[in-house]
Amino acid sequence: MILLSVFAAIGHAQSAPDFDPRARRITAYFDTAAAPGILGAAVRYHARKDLQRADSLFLHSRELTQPRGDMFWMYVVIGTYLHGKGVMSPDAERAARTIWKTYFPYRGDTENHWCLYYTSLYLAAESWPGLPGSEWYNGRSSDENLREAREYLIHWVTLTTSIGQGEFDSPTYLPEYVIPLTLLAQFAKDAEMKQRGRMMLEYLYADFASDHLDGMYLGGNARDGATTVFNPRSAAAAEFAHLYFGAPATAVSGWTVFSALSDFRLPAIIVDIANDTAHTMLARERKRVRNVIRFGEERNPPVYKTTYRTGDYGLSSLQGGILQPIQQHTWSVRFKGAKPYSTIFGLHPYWSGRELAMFFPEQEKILIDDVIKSKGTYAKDTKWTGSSPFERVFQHRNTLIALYDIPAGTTSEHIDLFFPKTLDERIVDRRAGYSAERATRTSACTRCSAASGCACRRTRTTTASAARIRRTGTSSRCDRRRRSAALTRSRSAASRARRSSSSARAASPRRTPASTATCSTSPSPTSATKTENWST
Amino acid sequence: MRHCVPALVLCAFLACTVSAQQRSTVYTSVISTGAFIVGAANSETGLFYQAGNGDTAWTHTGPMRIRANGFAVDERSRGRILYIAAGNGVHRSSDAGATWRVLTDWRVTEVLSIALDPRRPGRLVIGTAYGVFVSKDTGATWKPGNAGRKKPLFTSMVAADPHARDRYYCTAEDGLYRSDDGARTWKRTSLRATAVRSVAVHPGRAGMLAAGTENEGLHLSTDAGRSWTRCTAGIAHETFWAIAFDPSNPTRIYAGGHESGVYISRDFGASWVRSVKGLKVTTVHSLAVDPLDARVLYASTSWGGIFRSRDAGDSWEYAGLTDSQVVCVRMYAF
Repeated sequence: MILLSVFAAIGHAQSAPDFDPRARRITAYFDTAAAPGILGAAVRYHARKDLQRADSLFLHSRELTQPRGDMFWMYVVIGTYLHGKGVMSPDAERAARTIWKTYFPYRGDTENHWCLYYTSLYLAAESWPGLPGSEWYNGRSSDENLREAREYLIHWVTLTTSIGQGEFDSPTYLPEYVIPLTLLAQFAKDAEMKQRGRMMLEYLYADFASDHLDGMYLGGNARDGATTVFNPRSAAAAEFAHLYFGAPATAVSGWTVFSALSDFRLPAIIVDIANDTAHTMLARERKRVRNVIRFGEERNPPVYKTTYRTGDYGLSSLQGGILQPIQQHTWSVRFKGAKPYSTIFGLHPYWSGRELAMFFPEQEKILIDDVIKSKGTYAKDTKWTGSSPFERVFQHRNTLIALYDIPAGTTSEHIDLFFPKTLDERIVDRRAGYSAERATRTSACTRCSAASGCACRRTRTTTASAARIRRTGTSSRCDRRRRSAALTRSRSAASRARRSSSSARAASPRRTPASTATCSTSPSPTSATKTENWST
Repeated sequence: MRHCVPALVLCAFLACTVSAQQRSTVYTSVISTGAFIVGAANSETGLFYQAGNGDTAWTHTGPMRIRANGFAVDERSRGRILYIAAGNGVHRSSDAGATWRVLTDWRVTEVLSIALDPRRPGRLVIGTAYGVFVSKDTGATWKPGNAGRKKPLFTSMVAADPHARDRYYCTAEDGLYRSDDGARTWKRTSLRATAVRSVAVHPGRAGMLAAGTENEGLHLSTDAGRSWTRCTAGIAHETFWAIAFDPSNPTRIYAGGHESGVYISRDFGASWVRSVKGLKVTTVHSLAVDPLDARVLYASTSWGGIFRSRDAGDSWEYAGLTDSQVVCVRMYAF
């Protein structure tokens, strides 16, 4: 809210020379690709050229001939139609109308599904006003659909701007919000809804900008992908960071087409925030937990996110605990540089039917089997996203402490830390449980403390080395619990590059109640530590 | 004799017709098959039906991929009026599934069950992940009906009591609740298990009902919920999602749940035997007894489709909808 009012005061928009060449690169791909699909039609309709080819692409698209995809189908069909309205052939126009009568999309069960669904339904109902329910898939008239969609969108805007987004700051799900809002901002006939679309775009991009570094969405994130969590620049958000913030170019995909075709431009101040490398910045944000339907009285408890960003790295965290099922990313440091896998993070790999039943209405005892059919890593202790009720995180500027209080008998009695192979240097002091990591101008120091010491073990993943802190031995009678904590301190430092990578396993000895994992960054490793170069 | 032949043929034809008319119709709702992913090319889900003809073929009707958690058929309409309780809301067809209308808006979602009261034709009561909602005008408008309940309001099942006007039961996370005023206000019964997942009201005996819980077993009441008895004799499982009464035999009850197979009691819950012969998937979501032939039962399973018994539950045979998560099955004799 405060940011938005500042934008209004500053007022000037992102300059076209910044945005337009990048937008042209995206649209050019779909202009020239051999099989551009329905998005190729959108690009041609928008440019008012090659309209016969556009009609053909539209009419023969999978979206028209074999519709599927529910709310993901809705936005692409209405977006293409609106770009072609007035220039598409009568046949294409008829087909666009008819498909909203014959194909019945599912509304979905997440915040992004509903944003896509109701924004698309709003624009469709506005496009074809006055039709009876018999002309719509859901049996509801144009007026009913328009009213319902408008009411929900206003509700969502109010909720989001008062207590925060539920699927907040998602490197993978950002498109599912900004694409429909881009279409709303561009095509809504209702001036208020158009304005709401534009303001929410500014809100979401400002949110991204304050957590942005070099194309990456700094996390804690409500939902991150199983692979993008390793490699933040490969997430869909990076494509939008390129288009709007001028971050490094990414491969072109369909996500950014409607943004590239849009007349929406960011206020320059948001671009400046995204790219400010001259100042350190501390951002404290309030978000909300996804709708809790069981095992809690409060529908949307608060989420607190802290982000400390310099020109070289960003350390960011949520408070820990179960805030989202399946894809939560609680804390990480992500650093600038040309190499991939530019992140260090940790988690306790936890899963349970009870966690899922907090958010999904199916029977608790079958939910894990249900979820792993689509999210295969959910119930694996090698997973790299997810929440844990046994994790608590504290951050002060560039220092982070993650405390893991893991009872015996839970799904995984260890925590995992991720260190990429692409680090320039990694120094490990096994006895003290310290390690120091360096990547370009960023140094991190990690201290993993488990009970009275740590045993370190190198593990391999497909992309990187990993450190695992695993509880070993038996519990003492007086305290059956084990505690782990990670402390991260981040500072920028320039030192010579040396390629190494390593990983560690820390275990708590018997009869010692607490284990601690500490991760920090410092200007340079101390001379007392022993350097190990582990080939992985 | 020449005159008798056509008469015999006519009689045989009429007998067949009557027999066919008296065959029950089985309805089921499937929420997912195989790897269901929202937005992906999922296979057919939603509402299915078949005449109880003993084969494995089912006909789909209505929208697909809407997370159809439950349904209700208006028996007075002889199957013309259908309701689906779904993630998308409440869907209604008044022409036996040819066309559908979504009755609810964005305020009502994750609808898990729907209860019709034949004595209150316009009233619909639904249980959702966010509590109970009531419509008095066949779905035109809806109001929350949760007064007297504690949060969270998660409601997996609602049931109308056919023996008491305006009486409903709803499951909750802190027990089973009863309403005597048309689902406006609720009072918790003495069943205060942590989470009640299912409730069934006996169709022929007033005050008889059964409730299944998460981890806390199966419970029976003969006084409309004032007192409860936990079923223990012969029961080795603790989570029950499915209950069915035999309408022709008040003492016979069927129950099933997580990895339980089907439990059968022939003495109103005093003792139980477990039936799994032929039941290849033992996690049972729902059970239905044929109102015209009480020996015929259907059991819907988790990822295993539908199973049928022709001998009152002693043995089972596969009845179709392979790999499906079939969450609700009901039989109607129109």
